[in-house]
Amino acid sequence: MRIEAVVADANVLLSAIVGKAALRVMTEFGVVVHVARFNAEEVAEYLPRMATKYGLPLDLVELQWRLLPITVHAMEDYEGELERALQDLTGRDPEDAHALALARSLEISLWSNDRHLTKLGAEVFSTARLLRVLEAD
Amino acid sequence: MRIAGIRELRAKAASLLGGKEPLIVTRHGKISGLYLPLEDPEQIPTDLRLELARVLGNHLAKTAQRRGVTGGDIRKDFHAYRGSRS
Repeated sequence: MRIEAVVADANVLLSAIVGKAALRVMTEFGVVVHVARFNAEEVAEYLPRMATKYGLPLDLVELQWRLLPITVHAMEDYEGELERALQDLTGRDPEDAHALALARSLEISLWSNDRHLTKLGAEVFSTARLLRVLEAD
Repeated sequence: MRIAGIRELRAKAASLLGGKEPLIVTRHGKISGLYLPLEDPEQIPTDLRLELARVLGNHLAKTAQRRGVTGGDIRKDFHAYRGSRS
């Protein structure tokens, strides 16, 4: 199975900033990583809190965020799918609806480690599964 | 990507180092160094950008590990942060 592009949720983006495995998806395999601007903005806003709380150098954390090769999409690119995604995620993190709606709109898989995003019509790859598939390819 | 000799760099440092493009510096016609502005990573050649991300990511991962921070910690805190925004 050749995976050329995925939509990343906010949590895997944070993992790519401070973790090795998620970063490998972006730096080693040439996978195009699409992100909803809504999720990109919440990640950017969270970085100062994360750096302070966990004693990480904020300048390096923010530089790493800017270095990540991601393609950011405005809401117009997926707004036709957003309402249904919000309904599907009722009672869960509504912020994840943006990534789900973008994945449905682009008709590509979702990259997320959250189990509550599975069984919603889009194929979901955890980081571990995504790396397994990419390495086998 | 631009190229400038040492003499030109001395004379025009403010403008040459103030841009967003990488700058190759030459001395006696040979490459002596590379100045890489990091303000706009879109200007960095892709391979170099990915290598920078790989090196910096490994450094941050090691720092987080030394401090006992796990991905689970960050996921939980991010979830709490989301809750505090809504």
